[in-house]
Amino acid sequence: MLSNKLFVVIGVIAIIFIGLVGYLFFLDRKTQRLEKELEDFLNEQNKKQ
Amino acid sequence: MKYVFWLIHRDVLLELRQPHVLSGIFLHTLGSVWIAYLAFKGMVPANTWNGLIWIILLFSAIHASQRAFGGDSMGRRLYYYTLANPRHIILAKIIYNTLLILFLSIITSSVFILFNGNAIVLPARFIIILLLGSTGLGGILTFTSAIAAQELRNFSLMSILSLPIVAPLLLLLINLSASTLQPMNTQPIVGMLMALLVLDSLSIAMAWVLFPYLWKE
Amino acid sequence: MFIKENGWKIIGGLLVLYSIIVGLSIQVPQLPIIYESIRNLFYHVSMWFTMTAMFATALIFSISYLRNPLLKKDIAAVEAARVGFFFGFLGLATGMLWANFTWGKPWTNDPQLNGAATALLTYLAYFILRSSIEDQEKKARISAVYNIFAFVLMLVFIGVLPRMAEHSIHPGKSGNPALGVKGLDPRMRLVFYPAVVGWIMIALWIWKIRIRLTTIRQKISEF
Repeated sequence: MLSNKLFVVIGVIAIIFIGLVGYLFFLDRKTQRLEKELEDFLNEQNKKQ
Repeated sequence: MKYVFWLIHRDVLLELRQPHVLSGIFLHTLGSVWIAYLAFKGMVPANTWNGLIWIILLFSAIHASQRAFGGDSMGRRLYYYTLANPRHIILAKIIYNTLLILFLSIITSSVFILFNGNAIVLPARFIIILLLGSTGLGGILTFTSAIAAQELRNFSLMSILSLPIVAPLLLLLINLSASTLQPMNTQPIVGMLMALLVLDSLSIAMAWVLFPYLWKE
Repeated sequence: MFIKENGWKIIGGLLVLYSIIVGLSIQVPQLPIIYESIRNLFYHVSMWFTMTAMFATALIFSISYLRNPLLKKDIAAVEAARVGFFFGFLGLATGMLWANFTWGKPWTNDPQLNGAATALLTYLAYFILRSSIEDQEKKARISAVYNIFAFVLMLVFIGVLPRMAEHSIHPGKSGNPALGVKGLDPRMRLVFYPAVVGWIMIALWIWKIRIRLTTIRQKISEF
């Protein structure tokens, strides 16, 4: 395990995966913001009418 | 049940009124058998024989079922809608289509045997498989034809929708019919026949349950 | 607040992370032919389980749509099918790579493989059916009907046919469509189950995001 340095490869894959999950969180947030913006916009339009 | 027979009767009458459609389907199958003969020059090994005949049967069945609902005009559909229970309609169509496919496949098989030689060792079993196969094909293809008929613009929709769901049935049929060409004791014939029966009844039952949802406009 | 709403996402991520780290570092039984590649069980097979879970989700929402036609159910069904298809594609690609090194060729005549390919083809047909119908209500209704019809027949295919087949080349699965879990090393089981659960959670997460995006697009197009 330590001598064949497989742990380095595991580390690399783990970092990539963590990065992907973090990115998914980022997309989640972005969607949430978009939902809120659209909601506000639609409410405003309704008030105008 | 009376309505179902009446609807089948109507379908038969309508079919007989335009014989060119039916003869077109027969010509289509004859043409495919002829091309298969030309491609193999009559020297067909048994497992190729088996695959070839079922592929030809499948495509002629698809071709024949395509008009199960696609052939009806909007006006006639409305007429049926006011007249009959949708479940009776799908049952009548499935029975009619099954008979048509059975008739078609018997003729196709005979012509196929005429051209490419007879590889069948157990003819009685082959006919039973043909019967069960036509029922399954009739059930699945009639229902996919009903789905595809909802969208008239896409002509290839029917084959796109039916090919993946017909694949399990066809695999069973090819395996079963292989056992009529080269009978061996190791093949689980009874199990496969049971699976075929399950597929047949399941496809008809699903059509029975789901068709009313398709039919409302 | 954040933990309460997003806890399951973190758990899903941690489970997969655990399966990556532990799955690559534990000792595995050295079986002939496959050797170290048995670790692919954690990664390749969990793709199929995730696909099945997502297609089952699509089926549930399709049935529920027919019982009570609400647009959001149709969106949930189609997005579940899309995410399931994505994972199925990953399963197919990884399976072909693994098969190439185990059985010598990327595609072999095996009930498991044929079932998987049929499932993917069915859902491709489902997507084509959807894209060829213009009317929203009609599209939702007809594709729900097709989804249910196809899924039930496919269930027979995947459930019955492998039992019929004389042999399967999938290791430990001869005559058994389910995974040969009984023959599985207990240590490997401790990695495999968390991996499946974790991937399903991540798939559900992606599914949720897709539903929200489609809903936003829906609202914009209505406006």
